[in-house]
Amino acid sequence: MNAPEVDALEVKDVKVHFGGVYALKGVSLTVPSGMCVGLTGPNGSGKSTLVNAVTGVVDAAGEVRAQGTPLQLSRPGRAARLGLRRTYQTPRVHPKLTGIENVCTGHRLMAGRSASAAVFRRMRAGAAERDRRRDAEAALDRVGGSAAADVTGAVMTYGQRRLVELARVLVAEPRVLLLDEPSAGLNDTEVTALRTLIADLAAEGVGVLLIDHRISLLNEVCDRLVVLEEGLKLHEGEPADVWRHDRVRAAYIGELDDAGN
Amino acid sequence: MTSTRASTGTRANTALGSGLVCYLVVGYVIAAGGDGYLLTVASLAAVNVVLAVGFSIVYAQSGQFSFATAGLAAAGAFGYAWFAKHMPAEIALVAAVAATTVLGLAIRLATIRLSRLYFAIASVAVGGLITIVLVNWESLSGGASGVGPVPAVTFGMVDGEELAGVFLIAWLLSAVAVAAGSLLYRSAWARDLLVVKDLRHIGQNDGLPIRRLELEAYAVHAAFTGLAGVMLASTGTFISIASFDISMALQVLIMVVLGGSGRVLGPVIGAAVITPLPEILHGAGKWSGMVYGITLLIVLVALPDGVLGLWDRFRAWARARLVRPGTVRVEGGSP
Repeated sequence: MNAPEVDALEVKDVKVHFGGVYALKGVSLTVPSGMCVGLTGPNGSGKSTLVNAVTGVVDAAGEVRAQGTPLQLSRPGRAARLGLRRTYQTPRVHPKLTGIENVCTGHRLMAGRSASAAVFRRMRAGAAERDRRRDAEAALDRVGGSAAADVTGAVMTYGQRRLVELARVLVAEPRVLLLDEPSAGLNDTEVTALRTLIADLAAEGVGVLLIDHRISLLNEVCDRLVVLEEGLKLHEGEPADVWRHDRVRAAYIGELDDAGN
Repeated sequence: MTSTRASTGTRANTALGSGLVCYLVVGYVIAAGGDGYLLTVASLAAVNVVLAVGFSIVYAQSGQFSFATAGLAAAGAFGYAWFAKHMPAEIALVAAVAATTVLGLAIRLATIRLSRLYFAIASVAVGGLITIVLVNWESLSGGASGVGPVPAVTFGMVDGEELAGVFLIAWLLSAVAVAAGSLLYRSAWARDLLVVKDLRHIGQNDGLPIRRLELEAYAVHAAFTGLAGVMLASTGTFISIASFDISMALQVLIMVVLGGSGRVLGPVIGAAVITPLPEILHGAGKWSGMVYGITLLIVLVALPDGVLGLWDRFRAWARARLVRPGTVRVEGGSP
């Protein structure tokens, strides 16, 4: 699939405040289709808040377009209609559902998912469910999470939850993908697989916004990097250049100082 | 994989089938040998099974707390009594259930923007409102004195004047409701409801139609509750608004919590345990209310996940003791 000319995600001057505290003081960035943009910065710089703003989890002001269509902010679920999916800093899977079942809930095929279909149109519901399960198995396999297929969320390892959550968004075949620290809790093999996966997704035309703390992952997989600090964009550029920037280095060393105090 | 799943589905169908056969045999034995007292209690149990299954889906599965149970049941009962004056009882049954479902949908649509807590509060008011409307709508409800005699649903199979026959039809209807409940519980729809209940924002951001799912769950609750109301009217010959008060909603809640959630067996067990409890405790005389309360308290504290939860924990324990080869799963993920 060729990347369309329109940008996957356009964020313009997005502001979020919690009472008098501004978590985002007007951030703009663009994720072109088929590219991976890295979003990084010290803890509390507003990375997750930006993803939460785009997906309506927190109230926000500003302008966001997904796939070229303006998005109504502060309304969860709107972004999903435009083919945008996200993962969470703390992976969120349902504790009572198995890996496969969790992934199935993310599938876009809604056939047979009504009360009346469950009772009166069981054949059709069954056929649709088989399709969903097949795709869910494939998605789990793709992220390397097949071991979690029949394990319920409550007893999954942290890494398995991450992979199941990733499969749950991938099964929806998103055009815009926001990943919030997807490598946290994964082992080295899994991180390598994640890197390949993100590169493949971008090659398929998906616009990926990647939040992560692993600098090696960001450098290898991202086309651009955006660095946030205290709710503002500090710097943006090619990965290799960004780390040479004095203020970026200061921000990171500053973070170390804060942690040390 | 496919064959394992197919056999899981078949096993569930077999369990449902054999469970229903047992259920119907119990009903037949009660109908054949029971005296009037037992038949009355068993009729009430059949009604409670339907109420509990419907409430279990809307509350335990979709996370909507509805206190309108009594109002909806009253709508079903008086709706049936009114329809039955103008048409055969079987058609009146369908009409009354349909009317209650529409009423439930209207209630939920009007309150769809409320958060869960506020909806729970609103549902108390709505349930009370239905009761007030009914008590003043004398041509429909007979006012405070009630209406009757209400014809029984017979499907032409039993004598509508005979208690055992009328009971048997009610038991049959509750079996149909249990079967429908089982299919609902095992569906992709019920799985989506769990996500709506526990991971609402996540489901929304994954594209789940949250409000449609909530409305549907409420409609199912209304339909089941309407059916229970019809069964009350059909088995009771005479109905009065006084039998539909808030304690009905509380009792159904206790059944669902006690039985456990996740599958249709939970509310069935809950109804089977709670319905005869006041009768059994009659022996305690003036203390029966207190004994009832204390018994419930002990049971609810001891069984936080209900009877089903206890059973599942026992099974997990037994499995851990008797590890069979091939059941150990290799855990991946951590370095």
